[in-house]
Amino acid sequence: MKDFKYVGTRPIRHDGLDKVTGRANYGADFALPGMLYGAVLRSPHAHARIVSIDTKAAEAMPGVKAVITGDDIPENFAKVAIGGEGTFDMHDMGDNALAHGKALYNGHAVAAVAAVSLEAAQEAAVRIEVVYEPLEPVLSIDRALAADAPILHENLVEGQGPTNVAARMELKRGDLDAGFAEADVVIEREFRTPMAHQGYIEPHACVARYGEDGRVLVWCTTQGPFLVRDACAAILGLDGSKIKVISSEIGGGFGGKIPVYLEPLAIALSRKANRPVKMVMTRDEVFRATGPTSGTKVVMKLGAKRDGTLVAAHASMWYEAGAYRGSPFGAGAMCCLAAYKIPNFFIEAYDVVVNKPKVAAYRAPGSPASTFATESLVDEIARTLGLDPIDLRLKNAVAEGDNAPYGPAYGPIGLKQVLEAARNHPHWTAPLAPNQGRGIACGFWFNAGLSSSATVTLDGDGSAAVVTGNPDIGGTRVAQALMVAEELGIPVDRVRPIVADTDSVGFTDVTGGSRVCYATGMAVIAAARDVCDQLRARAAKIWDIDPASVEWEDGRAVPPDGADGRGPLTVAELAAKIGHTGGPIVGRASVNAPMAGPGFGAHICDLEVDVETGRSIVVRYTAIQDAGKAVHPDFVEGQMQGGASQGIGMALNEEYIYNASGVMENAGFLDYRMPVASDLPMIDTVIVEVPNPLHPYGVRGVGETPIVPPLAAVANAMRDATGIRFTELPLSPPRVLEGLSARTTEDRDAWRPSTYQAV
Amino acid sequence: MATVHLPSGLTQHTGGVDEIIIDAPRVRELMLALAERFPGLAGQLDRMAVAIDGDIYHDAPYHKLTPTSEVYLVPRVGGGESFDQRLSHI
Repeated sequence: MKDFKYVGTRPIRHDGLDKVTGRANYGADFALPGMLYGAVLRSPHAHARIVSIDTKAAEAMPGVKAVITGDDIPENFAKVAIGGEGTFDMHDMGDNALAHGKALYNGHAVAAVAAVSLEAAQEAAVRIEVVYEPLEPVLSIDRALAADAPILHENLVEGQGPTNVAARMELKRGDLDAGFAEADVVIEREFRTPMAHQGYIEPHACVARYGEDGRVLVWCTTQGPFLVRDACAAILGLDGSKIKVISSEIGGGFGGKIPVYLEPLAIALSRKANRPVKMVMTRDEVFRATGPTSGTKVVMKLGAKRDGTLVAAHASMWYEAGAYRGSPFGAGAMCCLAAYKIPNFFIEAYDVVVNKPKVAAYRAPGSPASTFATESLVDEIARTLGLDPIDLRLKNAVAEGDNAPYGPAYGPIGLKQVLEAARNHPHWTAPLAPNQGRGIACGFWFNAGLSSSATVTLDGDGSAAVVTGNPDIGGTRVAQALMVAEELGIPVDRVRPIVADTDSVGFTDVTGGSRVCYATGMAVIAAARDVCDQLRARAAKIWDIDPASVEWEDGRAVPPDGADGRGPLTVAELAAKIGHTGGPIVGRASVNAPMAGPGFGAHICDLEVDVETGRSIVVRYTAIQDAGKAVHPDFVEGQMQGGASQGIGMALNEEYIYNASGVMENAGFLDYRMPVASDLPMIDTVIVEVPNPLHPYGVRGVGETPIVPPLAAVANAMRDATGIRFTELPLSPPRVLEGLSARTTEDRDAWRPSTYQAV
Repeated sequence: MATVHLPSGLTQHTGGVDEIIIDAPRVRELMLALAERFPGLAGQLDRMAVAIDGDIYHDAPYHKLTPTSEVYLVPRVGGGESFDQRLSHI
């Protein structure tokens, strides 16, 4: 691996002081003169026809300046491509922002108000008279698939007739029957996971100003300012070139801040009121009306030979899409067997609409639920065969040259190195106390590429600025500054990383898919190298020699041997002369990068179960992952710890709870139980570095993989602690207590403590 | 010339063919040739990413192919978002 001077170090992030002192500006911190405040009226019903909406009383309220309904956002049936992000259904995105004719989930926006104060807007919103015709809500996959199920969308799939199944895909390899015939042990189980929210601390917020000249300014918290621009233009029928989006600092997104919710409403209200409009969601609204990840049902069967060789797998999986098609069912299918060489498999996956909020991307979307099934069964096979779970995984682990279940052969990947690191970690052999259990599980994510742009400007004092278009969620500013420092050979605190608005930088896809350090990083490195090339030319001009003869080494322009005793010129020396050698220096680059190359991880979890109450706590946890190259190890470790924490939350407590009418009953952090710092131990991390050949430094993306293993790592630890194989999440105290209570004497006798137990 | 592998969900449009050799200089011409050979694929191909010798591209119609190129059509995934959010029954 290349020797680095700055990459791989741990400098303080440039935005750190502002963030820890509260000075950083987030979505709700922006204000404009004359600004109004917006409020949204949301459906109390999970499924209802909207018979009529009367806004007259609301419009007559003091201070009310504008009221909008679905009539103000024309239904758009066009399927509009939004740069780089594939094709989005503008009808669904617009209809989700403001309902047209039918409310499809509890919390679906039905109307919105702008007034001189938030209180006035909220009071007016409840004066809007909506007549609903309630319909039976579809609240589960099983109900959605039933022959007599209510149908959410009359023409969901053209030519298919009434259905709640939006899409299906399949993957297969080999001969399934022959594979299972070869197996000495076959285990089949049904797994379920509930909807779970991304749980970002910062709610959705924006300010929009629709100008008299038709130019629009949007300030908002988002993972993708260019996507906000293009989506708002498409939904509202505006010219995207007249929309400027400024992304604020972002208090978490995890995929949930890719869609637009408030932004089109704020623009429409501003257009109607001729004043800027600010809108901020409450936590209740965030839960009810923004994208969680899918609830799922996975039926999986896995077969292995006596020596642990996996020979066949069959999986059927159904993903709740929420109210509109578009669950991550395809990714779930593609990920679930990605870690193992299995010669015979058949996977089918379905996208199912239900009367719940439209799901959004959530950190490795689709992979955690399907991998929960696989890794639980792998654990069970290891137990059944009496094999060490790491040995069994290593025996079947994919390596370079093996084909992924979705087709192509893997390039260099680090799964085996990750598993070896897990086996060598002291955690794996540490003793356990009574009522404790240990589990291990693997995880996979693709890591995206897509489009990014960057410019690097050099100042006369030898400092530099790097300008990109990705909101900084995971420490990407400092990572990009490190890359510029590495190329130019200047200290990282002499590099100013800037997140620019949509008018100030070239098109850049969203901060998501674990792509920023990889793809935007490629653009940053190329832009910095462009600066270096220009500096070589400036040095050649000073020396009056051929630019091609000048080398760039360790941050200096180096003349050829025997160049009349001329010494190398540093960046600072060259920068001091830029006014005399041709003027300012700006490097620029853009990329459309292929997908980064997969990231694999393995997590070890120790769980302690209170057999009296069913409450369990994680007492020790280790996350191991192939990062390719950790540009800033603090933030790689932070991603691994953050992903593990969210996955542990999904495993232990998090779930959307609905009553029979389809009303969410736990739309707040008191009742929707996410793990907080005091719930978790310090999560240990081990970074494995198998360089990704597609990136100049070997980066492969790290943000998503670590949310994949925890579901099964926790469930496997629960199995180790209690002898019970739970197949439905979360493992909340009532469910665990129910499981413990149902154990028969025979069950208890059959269970033996794991070899880790000190007892 | 490239060897093209089709996912099982698409073989309903190819009469069961899941591997085919196509003489095409670039991805664009390969896709056009596939659609001409199997008209049922025409509406499906723009929903697929293309893996060329192991590297997955979302938008690479002008990527050159070699006689030994190994091409897989892969459902689109990326950007923190699942892309297979269309009507596709693949």
